Amino acid sequence: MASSGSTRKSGSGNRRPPGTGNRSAATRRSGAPAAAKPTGAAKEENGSAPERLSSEERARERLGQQRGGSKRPQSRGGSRPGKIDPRKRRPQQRSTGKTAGIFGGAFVALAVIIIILISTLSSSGTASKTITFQLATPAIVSGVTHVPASELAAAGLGGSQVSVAGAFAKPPGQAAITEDGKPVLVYEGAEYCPFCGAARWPLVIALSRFGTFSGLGTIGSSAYDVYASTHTFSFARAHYTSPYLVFLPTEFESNVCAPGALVSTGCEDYVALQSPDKKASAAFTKYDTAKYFPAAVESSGGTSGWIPFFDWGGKFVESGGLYSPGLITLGSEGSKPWLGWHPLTWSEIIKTFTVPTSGTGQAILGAANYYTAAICDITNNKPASICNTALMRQAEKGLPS
Amino acid sequence: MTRWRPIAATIISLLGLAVATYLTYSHYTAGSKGVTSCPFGGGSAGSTINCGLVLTSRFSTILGLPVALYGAIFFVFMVGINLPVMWRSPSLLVARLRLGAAVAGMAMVIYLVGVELLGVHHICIWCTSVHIFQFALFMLVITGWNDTGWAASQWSDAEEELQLAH
Repeated sequence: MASSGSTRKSGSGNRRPPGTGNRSAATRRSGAPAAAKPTGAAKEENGSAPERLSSEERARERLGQQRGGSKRPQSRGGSRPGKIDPRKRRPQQRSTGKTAGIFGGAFVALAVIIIILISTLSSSGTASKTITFQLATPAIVSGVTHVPASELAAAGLGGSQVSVAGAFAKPPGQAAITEDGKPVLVYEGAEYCPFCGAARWPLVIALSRFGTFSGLGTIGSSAYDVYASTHTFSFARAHYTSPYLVFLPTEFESNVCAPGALVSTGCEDYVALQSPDKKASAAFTKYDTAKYFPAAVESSGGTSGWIPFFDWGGKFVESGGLYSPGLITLGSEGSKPWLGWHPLTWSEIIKTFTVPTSGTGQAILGAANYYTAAICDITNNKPASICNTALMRQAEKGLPS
Repeated sequence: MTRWRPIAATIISLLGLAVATYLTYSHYTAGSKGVTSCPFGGGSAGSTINCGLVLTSRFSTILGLPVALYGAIFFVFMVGINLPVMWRSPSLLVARLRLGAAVAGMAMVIYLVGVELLGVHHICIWCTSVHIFQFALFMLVITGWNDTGWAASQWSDAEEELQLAH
């Protein structure tokens, strides 16, 4: 009888000979009391009646069951007592196989789901289409050119999302640029450039406070560059009139990839668009260098000529924008987030202005306030209704003096 | 139970956590002028390797949060559950959680590599390093079931039976 493996197994906790009552430390750690070994297995495995238990053993068993018992897998004994070597039926062997099966199956299922997802991605045209120039709708033009002063004031200077440090510089001996007696604001950028795209939003807002735009177009930045397809405006066909300043924009290149320049890794060159004015070109060549913008030049790989570039009437220059394009590009996801976000639409961006104390709205309006202050600086604080405010004075302190 | 496996898993989890944390930090501090660049000069024009492109792509966030943040949270969990003391735990739940997390992490890696190759058409070196760490972790965990405290406790039971048999 004593040689029956199944009996031994089922009764290991109950038939322990005197002096062997202490189980191993590892077993105790498992939280499965010895008495929890189910005796029912004995019935199941050899069909014999369970042995009689002492009252102490029964108490131990009950205690074990009250504590949750053991859910460990029990080894099945053979039907022929005395023929089974316990080494051949160690419980973890079956458990390991079962667990591996469960997780292996789950992994295969996950892999299949992933393959389906990726197939969906590749078939749904993940290579974004270039958003080429379209005349902005009246609603978009109105939304960006008539931002309520209250929202601009509420945005302040954009909080931590907007930084002028390193973006503005005041080169010594910078020549003033004027036209018809008015200061000239030079802008040099390109339609494909996402940083230019981010900068155009506050620039349009700020300039609209001093004059009137026409011919504003909507475009997306390059579909093949960082912050792909950032929704923005193009100045390529825009006209701006103001009694206070002249706006001289240049979009060097479009967002359309040049013939033969689209390679597997992206677009290597874009269709040329506009040539810069001589004055603008001279300022760009002279000031958009590592000497004035060391951080920007370093981050661009050691080359000069980072865009967007601004010459604020010869008072100071700016290279790069004041906030990350990610703030207006990342974040609008549909019902299938694993398929990626969709760039915020123009309407969605304009809608963020109504929440000027956080996020995208605060960044754009805060940057617009800095640009407004810069324009005030070159127009000698005209008009006073815009320039003589506490917010403008605060913003001017952040600009190089 | 081998001692090297929990230590190796912990170290690899820490490495994964370090890179994921860096990428999360980079995401939130991305400036107005540049993006996260690849190490070792990767990301030059025409190169398949371009960290900025991958990290600012439309797949770079899920539910408005950067993928790197999910990675960092995942590796915090992996560091905790791969500590030697956790490997020694006789709890079946702990062993299964570790295995499940390793499998889920590996599944995410497959998805992300698929996105890089099929969606963005570029590879991010930083991301790839995290994928390699996760793969190593996956292999350590998937082949280490018998090194778990739970398995050890089962061996103890069997050994006890054996002793009783004699």
